[in-house]
Amino acid sequence: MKRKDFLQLSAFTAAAISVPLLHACNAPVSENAMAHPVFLSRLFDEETIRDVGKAYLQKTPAENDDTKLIQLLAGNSAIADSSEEKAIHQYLEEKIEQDFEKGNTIMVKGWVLAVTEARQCALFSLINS
Amino acid sequence: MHIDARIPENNGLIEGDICIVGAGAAGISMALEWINTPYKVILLEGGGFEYDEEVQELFAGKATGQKYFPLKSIRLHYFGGTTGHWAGWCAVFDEIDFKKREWIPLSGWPITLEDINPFYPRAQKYVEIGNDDFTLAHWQEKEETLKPFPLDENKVWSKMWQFSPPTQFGKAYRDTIVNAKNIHLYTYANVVDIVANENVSEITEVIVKNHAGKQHTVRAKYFILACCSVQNARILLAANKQATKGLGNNYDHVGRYFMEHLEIKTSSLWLADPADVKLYMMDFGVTKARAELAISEKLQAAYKILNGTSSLSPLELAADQPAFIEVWQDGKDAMEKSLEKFNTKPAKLNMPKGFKAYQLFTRMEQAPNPDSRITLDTEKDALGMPRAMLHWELTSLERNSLRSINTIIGQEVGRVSMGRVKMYDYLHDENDESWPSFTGGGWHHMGTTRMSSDPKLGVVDPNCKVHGIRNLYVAGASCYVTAGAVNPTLTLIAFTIRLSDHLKQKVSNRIN
Repeated sequence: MKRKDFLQLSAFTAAAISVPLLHACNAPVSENAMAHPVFLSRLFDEETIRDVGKAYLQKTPAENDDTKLIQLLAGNSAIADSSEEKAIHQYLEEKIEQDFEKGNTIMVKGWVLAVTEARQCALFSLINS
Repeated sequence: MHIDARIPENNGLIEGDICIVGAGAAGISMALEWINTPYKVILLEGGGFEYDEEVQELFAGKATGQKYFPLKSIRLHYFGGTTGHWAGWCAVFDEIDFKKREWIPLSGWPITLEDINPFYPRAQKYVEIGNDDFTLAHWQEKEETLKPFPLDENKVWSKMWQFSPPTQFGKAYRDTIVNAKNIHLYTYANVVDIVANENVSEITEVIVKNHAGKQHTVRAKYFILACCSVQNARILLAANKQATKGLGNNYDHVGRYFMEHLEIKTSSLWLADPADVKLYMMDFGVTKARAELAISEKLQAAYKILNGTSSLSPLELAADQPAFIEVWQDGKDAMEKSLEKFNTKPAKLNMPKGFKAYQLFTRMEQAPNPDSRITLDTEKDALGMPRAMLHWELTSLERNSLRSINTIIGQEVGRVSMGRVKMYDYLHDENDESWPSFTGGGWHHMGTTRMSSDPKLGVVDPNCKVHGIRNLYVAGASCYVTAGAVNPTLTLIAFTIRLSDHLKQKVSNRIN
């Protein structure tokens, strides 16, 4: 990571830990939960997640739609209908692990990310734009 | 016994059983192996016991292609060779390094790791790392607190390195060599020509010169070139009076396949606490062994990549450091002067709470490439030898492999929720073929007299004998077919000891 990237990242960092993600969003619980990459939200602040999400959508313009992203994140499961944030997160964390296991990853702004978490960032960027 | 070749009368004749050309890690190791044998060993060193600018200048030459260090300063030209300022990093080759890999053109040795393994313990003795083996289990037995990352070993494993003090061969073995009755060390004896018999099937003598204007003839039953990859190729190519393309060069392989290890920062690794990194850290001069992250053979094949390992350094210490290629200072004390350019203060970084960041620095083999090569310049040095020219050339395979190695590591640390990897800018675009200004090598020169069972495909045979010439051998990393992931020194010493055993048998049969 170059120094300018550090400075950029570090500027976001202080806020990242203390500001709850998605606090201002009016989206349904499941959508908000799906747009919350749990691990990445420890590392990135909201703006970085949004930037990563936008960059992902630039790479995969066919997914530039929140309904489409929710479908892709949910897969064949009914998890999108769940109102349990914890269950949604658990489902997606397992999916992320599987992505890494299978090599289903993508480089976004240099980060090696599971496609699932990249989609979460993309969803976040769409519903918080 | 030591003789300064500037002192005897001009046109002297020196005779022995074997003649070793070059007194660096390979040449000195070879000589040490022959102490107390009944054979007279001539050890020729171009320089003296101390750095000599006039002698060092003999190594100067032009470089084209990928930016490289000045040729003058990539080797030290005195007794002990470049061990005079090496860092002492030692590791063993992997099985895959010797295999034919369909995705790497010109890979595949005519020997295997099993042929070299018996010689590693003897090589370890010379670099003073004792009998410790290179397995993680061994080091964990010695130090229970060394714990590898909880990654899938079938994907990413922890490859152990050990650190020599580092042994400076010139200092460590000078007295032993000089006091050995059957070793005749000639300093200031630069080989400027090799003379063969009429049909160029046997070497009869070599000619040595120095700046004092003295020239001597050295005759022996066997000759071993142990001058490093640049100079071995240069000497063979320059010996072109009887063989117009140079000795051992009937099929135009001498000087080609010059390989380096790419040593370059590739990504940052952001680890969530509490990641235990002790196994991967190094305190220079203190740490005896540490691990680097390596890619399994299975995944190297799946991703069709070169072999390499990535080390971890705290990002606050590594972030602002220049690359050696950017700050290298030519001339005397080049290493020390270059190190002065490095920052001593850690960079101020604000980490996300609960995270620590590390720079992943990847060392990786370069694929054998016939266009990456040593040739002769028309310009000659002060002793009349054509200067060496280097054209260093990298390919997209190197770039893709660097990216894949770091991707695989990123996938594994992501899978176990340890952290995430962020690639440096130059690796973002898969279609970008350019290399950043900090692309450098490790001063590891290999491949210019590559090994092959087939004379049409290489310079030396599996015993390191030059094809077609009965009594001319090459010691050192110039014989490497591929570079391996790790630094070449320990392995080239092991190779030299193997060659030494082979030669002892040959000499014994011939003389007795």
